[in-house]
Amino acid sequence: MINTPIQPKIDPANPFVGRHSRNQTLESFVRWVLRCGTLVIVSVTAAIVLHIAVKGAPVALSREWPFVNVAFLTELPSTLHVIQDNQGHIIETDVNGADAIKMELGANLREEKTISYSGGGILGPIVGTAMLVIVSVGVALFLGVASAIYLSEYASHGTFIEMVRLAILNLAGVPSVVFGLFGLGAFVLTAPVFTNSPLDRAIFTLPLGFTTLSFQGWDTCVLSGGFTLAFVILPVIITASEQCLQAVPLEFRETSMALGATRWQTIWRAVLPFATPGILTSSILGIARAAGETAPIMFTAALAFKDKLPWQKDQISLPADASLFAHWEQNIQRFLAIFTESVQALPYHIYTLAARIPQNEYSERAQYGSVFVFLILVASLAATSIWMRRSLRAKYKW
Amino acid sequence: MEERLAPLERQSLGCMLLKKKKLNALGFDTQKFIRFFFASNASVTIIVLVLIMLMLLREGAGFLKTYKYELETYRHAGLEFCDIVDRPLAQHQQLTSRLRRALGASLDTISQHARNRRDAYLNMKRQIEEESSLQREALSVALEQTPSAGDKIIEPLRTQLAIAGVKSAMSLTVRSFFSLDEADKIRAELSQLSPETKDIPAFLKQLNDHFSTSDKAAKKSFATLVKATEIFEEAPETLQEILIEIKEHVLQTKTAANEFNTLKSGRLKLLEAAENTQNPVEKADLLKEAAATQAMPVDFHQRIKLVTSRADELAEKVHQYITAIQKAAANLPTRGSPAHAIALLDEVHHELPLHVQEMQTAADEIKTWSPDKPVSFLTVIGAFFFGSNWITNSSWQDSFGFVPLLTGSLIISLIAIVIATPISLMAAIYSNQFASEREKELIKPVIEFIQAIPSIVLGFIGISVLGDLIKDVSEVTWLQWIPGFPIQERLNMFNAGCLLALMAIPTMFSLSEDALNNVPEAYVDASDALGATKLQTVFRVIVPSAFSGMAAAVLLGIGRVIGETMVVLLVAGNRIAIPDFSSGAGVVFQPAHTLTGIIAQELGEVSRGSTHWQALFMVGIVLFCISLIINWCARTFVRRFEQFKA
Amino acid sequence: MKPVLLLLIMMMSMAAELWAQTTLRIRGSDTLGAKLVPQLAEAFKKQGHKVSFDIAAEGSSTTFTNLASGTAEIGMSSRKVKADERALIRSKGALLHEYELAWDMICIVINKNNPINDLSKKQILQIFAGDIKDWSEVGGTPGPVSIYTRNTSSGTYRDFIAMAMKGREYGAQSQKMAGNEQIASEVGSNMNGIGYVGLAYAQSKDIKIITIGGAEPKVSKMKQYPYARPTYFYTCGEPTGTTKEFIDFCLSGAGEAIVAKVGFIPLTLAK
Repeated sequence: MINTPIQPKIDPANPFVGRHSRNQTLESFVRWVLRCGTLVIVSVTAAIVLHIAVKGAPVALSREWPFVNVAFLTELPSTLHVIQDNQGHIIETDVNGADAIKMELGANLREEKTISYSGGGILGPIVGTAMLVIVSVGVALFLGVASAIYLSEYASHGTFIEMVRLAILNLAGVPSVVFGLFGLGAFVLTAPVFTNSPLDRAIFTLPLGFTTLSFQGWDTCVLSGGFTLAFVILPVIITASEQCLQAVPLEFRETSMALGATRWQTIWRAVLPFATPGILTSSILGIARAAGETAPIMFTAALAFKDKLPWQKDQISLPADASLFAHWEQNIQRFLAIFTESVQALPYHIYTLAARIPQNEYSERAQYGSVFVFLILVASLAATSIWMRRSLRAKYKW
Repeated sequence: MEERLAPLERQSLGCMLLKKKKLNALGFDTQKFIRFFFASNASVTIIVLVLIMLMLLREGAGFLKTYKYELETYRHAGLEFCDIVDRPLAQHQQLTSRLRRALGASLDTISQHARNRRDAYLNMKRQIEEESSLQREALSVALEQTPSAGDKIIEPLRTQLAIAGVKSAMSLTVRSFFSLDEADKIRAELSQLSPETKDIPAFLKQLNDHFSTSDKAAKKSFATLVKATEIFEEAPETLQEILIEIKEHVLQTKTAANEFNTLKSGRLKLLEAAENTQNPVEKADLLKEAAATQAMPVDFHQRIKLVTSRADELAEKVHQYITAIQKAAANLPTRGSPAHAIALLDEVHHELPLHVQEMQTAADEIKTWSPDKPVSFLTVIGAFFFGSNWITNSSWQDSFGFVPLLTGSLIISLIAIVIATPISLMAAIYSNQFASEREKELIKPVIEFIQAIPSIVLGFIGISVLGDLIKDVSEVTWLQWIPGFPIQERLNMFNAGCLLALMAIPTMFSLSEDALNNVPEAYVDASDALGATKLQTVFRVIVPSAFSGMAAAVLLGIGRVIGETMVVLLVAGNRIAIPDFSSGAGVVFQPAHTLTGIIAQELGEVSRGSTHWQALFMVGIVLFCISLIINWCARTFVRRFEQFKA
Repeated sequence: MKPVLLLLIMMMSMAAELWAQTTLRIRGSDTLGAKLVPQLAEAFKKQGHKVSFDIAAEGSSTTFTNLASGTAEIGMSSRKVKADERALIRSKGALLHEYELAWDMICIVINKNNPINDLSKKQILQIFAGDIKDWSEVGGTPGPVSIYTRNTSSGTYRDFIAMAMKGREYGAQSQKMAGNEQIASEVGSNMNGIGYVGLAYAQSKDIKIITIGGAEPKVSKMKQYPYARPTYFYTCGEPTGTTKEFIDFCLSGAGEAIVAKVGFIPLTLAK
């Protein structure tokens, strides 16, 4: 906290007022009370961040180059084996190392403890979160920017607009767990799928001849989770984008239209180019929000344990004479399959670590390490956004 | 942008000359289409809001019907009949619990010292065994080996254990129940603990004997209380026996009814599958299976007769029970025990008449009870919105009453708001009116950072740090005047409330700061011109005119807090019960479950379409409505005060 | 927008059809899924099998819903299937196959500083039903009893009702914890706590296991211990391919070694 010394202001109109009149004492008192309130917020935040950093940094960072714990960031979560010998030495290892060590110790082995999810690293959850964020921000940016353009460029009055604004406000207030319920009902259980064998839970099927459009849902997968998250962050993105569009001076539009451009040309050539950096900046905040939400993905995408990355799949090898088209099709399907699988996600992984495994010196490493990395990711996103907003403000001065 | 900026629909010269065909048959016009495209995107928010409501209703609306059916089965099968007697009988356990506690307190006056000494010894023994467990285990492994390991191996292990035992015994702090001599004796004894000696150490034996003699003496001197407690405890046994018989019977009825229903729906599905399949073999198979699942429906009337025919017998037993406990209660001594025990006994005396009366009514009620009373939808709605039990996956009867969840959510939100409101308003006023530029540059990013902290991280902090911190603080002696201290559960509502307060601060801070910013400059100038001091300007002019905005900020903060899931799921303690308000403000240190938490905890685990599933969606509907109401309130607040200002 | 949406829908639906057969999706009990099955899976993969595992352990009730909806190849359950659940699977036209995996004992655990070492079955019932509210009622240091139970979908929750509660419900004051480990850590931090966990989870150093009427939860004394129960794997229809290989592995000697290591009782010992 920066404490600027309180300089008793000498009222120029009345220089004879005492330096410590009752009012001044009162004012400085009130000022200090208010400052203390502010200080509480700042110090509590600092304490939390410091605690996590002190406990988590040694796990995620390292003293030598490249200064990060590469193994922690590039391995999948696994079970931690803690082997103790009769002299009380403790060896931590994974399932592959455990056997060799046990063999080596022989009769000297005292006990072997296993702690789920605490070994390895957190690559799986990071990748999963990244995929969820990509899908959700993609969808939300598309819908959000388009909505914002309508709100800001096409109409600003009328019942429809009022309703949209009301909806945005209310959508922003809907609890995240209700979004989870919505995602479960809408995407996991009802969204349309082309399939040859519709499930009987489909509420509606539409035979198309070669296939059937069945409203049976996408199951829990990245797409379901991403779409759910998209609607969680949609209000944020719309509001931010609208502000950015409004910030573009009116003269730009008037000039453009005076030159004979259509409304669309005006938006595309004269408004959007100046608003895009701002929109992107604010969308980073949306990313941070999407990455941090747990409740919406609990029933729509997240998985407690998965031992492969989404794209690591055993391919059914095609017959040697398979056509180029077959290979091409397989590759496409492989790519798409990435998004139709459940993934581990960082927030859900932390939930698992916090609720499902014991709190002891062995699990602490994984717990604080994950929390630290997660916090760093989210905080750096937020910081980038703040910093970019500042530099933008400095750059565009109309 | 305003409508008057409508585009000049002027066609370019080239266009006019060449008369390019425009796609405006069917009224198709590029500009209009683009406009329509954006409008349809904007309407997505409305659609989503409506869809949320629809989805929740689709999954949740069936709740009333299925729950009604469950309650009907509850009545028809006769479970309700048993509960008429069983519910008030639970009070008996409460009374017995008090008696047992009173007895314990009385006995303690004589035997407590001996017991403490024994327990302290046992604790020390465990501590030493833990400290030297490495050596101990090695030795016992060696001893158990067949063929037995030679002395060559065992001897060094023995010495190692002895060394470790002596070392930890020497560092032992012996509690003050023991004299110095005894302490030495204990150390000597404990240092010699070894897996080879099976005998109980001499001093422990002595302590044990001492305890059992003093316990006997205590029981003798409080013989009347012991006897009365026993009689009281055993009073309902004959009643319970017959109740258990009836319960088994009605439970069978219920299970049979449920099974019949599942099989029926399963059979229908099988028949449907048989209908659709082309393969004749499979079809025959499916039909055979369907035939195999044919079951007889349950004849409720026949089965309930067996129950109602025993009503008189049961009522008779209830009366016997009443006389028995009254007699036992009359024998309860009123003096001689410590004050604490007397207070407990007094409570028993006070509550007994009420209990007796309840049992009387129950006895009368079972005689007139009829299984055919219809269950109205109003009862079902009442059972959900005013029910005080949320019991699922039960072996008796599931009930979905959401009052305990609502109280949990409300108390936690209240705690969070009470903490967050003053702090964030103070911070907002400070940073808006008093802070220097440099301070502002610190405060704003910190607030934005708090907003970015994911809730799960805060939940983790609550479970790993804050819970223990609060618990440790509550054990500090000079803080014992605070109600509820020392606390028992580290996961409780206060813990969750503190973390949620932190989550609410950014919302409340930024909205109220906006409100302060929006106060017209003219107000400030006018105030200054009238010679007001800074404080007067801030608190008499600026804050009052920003009041509506600040109130809306607080409301939206409540919305944020009540809808938060992960923190309460991890930290609030998950006890599904209406908190016990008898402890006054200390109630905040009790665990609770919440509306959001229950969805997150249970939804992943129930089968789709079951009553439980639907009940959870009903909770979702309630949450959704709460959020809409809060938003609406915040808006009206702002509007009304803005009108007022104008 | 519409063609884009259509394309999206098409892409998704194409992808949804594609499920690589070599993913084993295992759903169900937390008792099995938090510790035993992940380790069995790791060991199975180490044997050189090309398979990936997808394990979610939310409670035994999820086993049968997942099997019925075809979202799991193997269901793990710490209790036997209920009649209506069997009927549910039956109504999908498949037969449920049951494999006893290992035995488990439900241990009653209390804080290590609690002087009590033994409770009778009746006392256990009274404590968990909320009749006994204070430790002094069973001869302990005075202090209100805090009860920790599993969440309602857990098989352990129901098994414990069946084995110990004589059809009564848990007291309203009980706290529902997400998993065995959480119960262990809460009991470890609360002087007056009591809870139940699977044998595999009772090793935490701040808790101690109490005997029930003198019976200890030990492998050798399983017959006397009142709260012992089998745990199961379920499959929808006769398992084939990798699913079968995995189940066979779990029931083999190598699998049983892991079962024993994790703290369950291998079938050969239980019989």
